[in-house]
Amino acid sequence: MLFQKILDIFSKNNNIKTLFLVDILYMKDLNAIYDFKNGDFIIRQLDSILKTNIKELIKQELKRNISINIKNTHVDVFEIYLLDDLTIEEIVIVKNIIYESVVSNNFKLLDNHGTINIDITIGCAKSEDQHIKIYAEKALYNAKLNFIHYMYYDSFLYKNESVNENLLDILNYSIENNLVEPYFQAIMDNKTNKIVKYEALMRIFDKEGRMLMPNNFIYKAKKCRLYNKLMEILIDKIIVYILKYKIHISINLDYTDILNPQIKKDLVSKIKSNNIGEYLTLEILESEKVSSFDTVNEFINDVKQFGVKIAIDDFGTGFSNYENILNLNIDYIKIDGSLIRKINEDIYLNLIKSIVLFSKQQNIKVVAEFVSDLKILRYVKNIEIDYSQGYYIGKPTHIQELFGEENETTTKKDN
Amino acid sequence: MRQQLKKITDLTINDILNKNIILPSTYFDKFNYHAKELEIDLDDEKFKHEINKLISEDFQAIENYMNLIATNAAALKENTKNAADAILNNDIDSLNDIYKKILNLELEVKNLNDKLFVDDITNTFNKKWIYKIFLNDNALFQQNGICILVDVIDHNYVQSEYGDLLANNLLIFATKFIKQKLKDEDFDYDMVRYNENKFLIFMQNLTEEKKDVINFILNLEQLLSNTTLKSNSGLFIKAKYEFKICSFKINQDSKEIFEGLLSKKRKI
Repeated sequence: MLFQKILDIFSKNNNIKTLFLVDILYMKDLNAIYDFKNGDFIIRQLDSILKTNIKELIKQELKRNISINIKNTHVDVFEIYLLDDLTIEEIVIVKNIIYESVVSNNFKLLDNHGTINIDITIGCAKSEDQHIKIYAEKALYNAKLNFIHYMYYDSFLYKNESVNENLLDILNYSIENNLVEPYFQAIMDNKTNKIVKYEALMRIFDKEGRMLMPNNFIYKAKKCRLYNKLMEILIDKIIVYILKYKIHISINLDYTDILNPQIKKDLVSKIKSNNIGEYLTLEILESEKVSSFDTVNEFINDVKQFGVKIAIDDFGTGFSNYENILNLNIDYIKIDGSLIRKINEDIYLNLIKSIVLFSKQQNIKVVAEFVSDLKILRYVKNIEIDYSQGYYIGKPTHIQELFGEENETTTKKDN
Repeated sequence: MRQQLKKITDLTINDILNKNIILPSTYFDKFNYHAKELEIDLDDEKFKHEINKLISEDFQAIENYMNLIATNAAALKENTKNAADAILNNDIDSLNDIYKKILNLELEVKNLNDKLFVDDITNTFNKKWIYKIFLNDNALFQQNGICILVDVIDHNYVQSEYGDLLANNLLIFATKFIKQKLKDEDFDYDMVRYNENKFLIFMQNLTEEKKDVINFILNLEQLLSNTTLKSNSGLFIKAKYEFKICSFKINQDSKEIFEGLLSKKRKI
């Protein structure tokens, strides 16, 4: 048994490889400025320094004879395979050798006496299985996404990402069985203390009847291209509830939902055929992704002709500013919970006050999210925010629960 | 070595904490048993050196507590005497001064209490708190409620591959994350570090339906599992966690609940 254990350890260590992916930053720019011939020339020079100087430096620094394979796998991407189980400290040493050698190297140009410097991004992974390249690519991608020059993915920890495979089953199960359900969170008019509207929040259910909240499945649903189906079921149910209970409901829409012609077409057609525009508010998430305000405004104008109201959700967190808001034909601004929860701190209170002042001048109503206790509600009322939403007003609730207790939940006393 | 010692201690304490009488021999037998299980040689020089260091640190900590208690007791004695004089002389200024001193003393006692019952890495309660404060003298629950076991499964891997600093950061991150989410939901809870990488969350006085609490906890587990921790050295940690949930009733034996949670396969 001990022998087997030793054999296992030996064979495991023998299979572990460490892979560095080296990607030249802005290669397209280099090609455009210095033309393709020079671009190829730079790649050839990089190939040469990786295979000679850097390879030698790595061996010297690690003080052992490691097998190192280097190849140019894609136009501007190089693979450096070290057939050894490197420690995290050794990985950082190798990364530093590669990075410092490349960025400090003077690259020559054809027919030109000058030299230029290039920048690189490095993704690294260590694994014993064939997925090592996927892990390294993921690290490279994330390094670029985060504007950093290096990222390391531990394949052992990365495997945890696939543990949640059954989420896809739950999504399919919910869609097939029509188990996408809106839960309603009350929005209160701060002047009258009456519940005037509900925000519909999406929930799905697994086979055991356990509920999943959106931040656990929306990303996966979008990745698996199932999000449109979820939205379709949600909107259909909301329409049924509006027609049955005559309640005002807010629906969250992502910027990408507005760009999606199918969702947009379906939504407009359903609003029109059921004549429910007056009962509906669409909350558009404030996001740095909003690049075309004309597209958003076009959508807003399309739905507004049916009486639909428009809100900007999570205001104060994204990159949009007051000028962007001025360019949109909106009715409400919902101040993000992360600001409201700190309303008792002077700096946040002043920021919120300035949002309220600006909104009032533009004739836009303001909603405070995350009103979780009486203290926050008092602050919110004191600075004349029009509406409140949060656990103190009401938690997200199933429609049956909501109307079973209608008399108790529609009015909240300010004590 | 220190980490392994801590692991053996945790396992040993788990085995015997519920016994009314713990003889040194019982402790040593269990300790020896777990040391063998983890393949530790108790006669190793390195081990002996570590033990001596630990004992000296323990003595130092006890001495510090004793000094603090003695200082506080002296301050209390002086304040009481001064208060008696001030009342006799109807001296309002002195009484105000004494009141301030007593507030300071209260803070000192709280700090002392924190030192005794709070885990200094994660700022959650320590195991001592469960048996000295939370449970009654017979280690029985004092109220009805829900107990959640949070297992930071990858902690040991991160510790062995990347060292204590990152492993501790993982625990700090996970506990902060969980505490913030529970606070956001307005839950009345206590979180305890049960052993190296396992935490217990106790929820009592539940105003929510049990089903809703379980739903929330399972969602919290997913949310935590989907969150990535980035280290300054460029490492990307997506750790694995497991939550298990169990209800307890007033006067129920805690050992039964804790052992059940540690051994059970199903989440609920």
